[in-house]
Amino acid sequence: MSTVEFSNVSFFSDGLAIIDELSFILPEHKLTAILGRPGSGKIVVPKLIGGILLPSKGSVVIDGEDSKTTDDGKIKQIRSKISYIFRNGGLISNLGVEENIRLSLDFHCQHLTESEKKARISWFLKYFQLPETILPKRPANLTRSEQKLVGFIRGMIIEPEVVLIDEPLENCEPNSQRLVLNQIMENKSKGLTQTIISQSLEQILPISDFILVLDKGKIIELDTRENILNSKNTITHNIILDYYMV
Amino acid sequence: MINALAQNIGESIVGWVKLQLQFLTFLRQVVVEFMVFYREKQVSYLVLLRQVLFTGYQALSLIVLIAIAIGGLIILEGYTLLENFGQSDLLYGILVAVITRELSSLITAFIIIARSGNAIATELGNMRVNMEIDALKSIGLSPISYLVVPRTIGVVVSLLVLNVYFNVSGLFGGWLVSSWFYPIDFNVFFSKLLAKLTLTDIVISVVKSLLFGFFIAVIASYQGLNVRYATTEVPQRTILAVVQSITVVILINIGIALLFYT
Repeated sequence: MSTVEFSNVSFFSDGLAIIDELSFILPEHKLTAILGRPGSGKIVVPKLIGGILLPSKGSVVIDGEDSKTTDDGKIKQIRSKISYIFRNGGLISNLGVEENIRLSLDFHCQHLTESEKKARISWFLKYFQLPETILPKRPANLTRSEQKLVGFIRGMIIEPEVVLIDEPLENCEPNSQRLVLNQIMENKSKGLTQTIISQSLEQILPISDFILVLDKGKIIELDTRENILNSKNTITHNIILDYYMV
Repeated sequence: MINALAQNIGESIVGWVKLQLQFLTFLRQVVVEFMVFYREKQVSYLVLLRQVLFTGYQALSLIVLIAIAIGGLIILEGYTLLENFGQSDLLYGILVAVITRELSSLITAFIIIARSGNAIATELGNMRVNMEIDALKSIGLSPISYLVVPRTIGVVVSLLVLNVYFNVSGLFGGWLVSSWFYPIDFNVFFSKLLAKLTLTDIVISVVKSLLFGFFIAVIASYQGLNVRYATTEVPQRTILAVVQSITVVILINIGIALLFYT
């Protein structure tokens, strides 16, 4: 169980408030799509949960622990439950695919034996239809689609409880999109908490349970998909319209 | 107008102090992470090995070549000059003073700044732009612990070892050139040289290497990690890393010389 709670969270960049006094509890075991126009702060929210950014004000509390904690043990404990999947895969360019995957696997799954780790890597490679020969390759030698899938493997291999996905379908060819959507659906069936930022609303909206609508760093609404789609709020309505007009 | 000038000067001073405080905070973090390095060794010893390979091993031939050339030049120039005064034995003292006390650590440091300091700042800057640093943070790996500390240890170890190689090659180069132009017995040359070499010279050379290596790596990492948005910042930060490293190395060298030789 991983609860994520924002309490009066603000985030400033170059003196400007990107996120302004946000307070909400992320729906647990549900898939929440985050919608907003550019500059709404929709990218910052998952980064604050993922520990990439720290709040300038307020607190992001994960399982009772403030994300600002400086205790290495607690940081590791929090991060072992959360995976952030980057839009470009976020792979370390001077490491091979296997080393990239092992970065999180070795750090968070020290209880596994070497053969268990290898078996887990092989299982995920098969799941994402990637050959074993990809393991020694550097990210520069992969297609964007493959980079994305390896990023997914690195995120999912530690069996997280919270998955934060930035543009899951961007840069993916059709088969990879199908594999990524399968993984997201499987996460849903396992009851993982997921947040997704995506421009591909026609594919993400039908599978979302909740929708968080942000505008100019503030929450407009956080509600179930049905309620948001039937919302009378003009800003919400216009934002959803914007997505479909792309 | 005077008010505006005073305000500008004041703002510049405040800005400079802020930057220094920011660097000191980074320095403190590096020192703290040094202490817990062994805990993260499972994932960062690879970075350390790569750093030693790049900074130490790959620079070895260049260091040896330069050391032999400098040792040879000192003998060639010095012997010609001192022989006129019948003081050619002073050459051994000069060789120790110039190579062991000063040039070995200084030239090694400059070569490492040019090769590794440059490379570290560029690599970390590009990692920052490509969101690789964010990826490490999301995994829970501290960029300082995973990237900076192993690189710092790698540079310190490499600089120390290269310094030893520089000394050996420089002194050997001295003998090689002298035996070519003014044949001297190998044993005589080195026994006279060792008679001039004191424990303080060796200790100072080692201390310099440790300090130079530490600051070169920390400054380069600091500048690399301070790239924020664009790849165009990378060369700017790299230049800053090189300039600041050279300045700090020279200042440390002067400080040590004043401390031990005055």
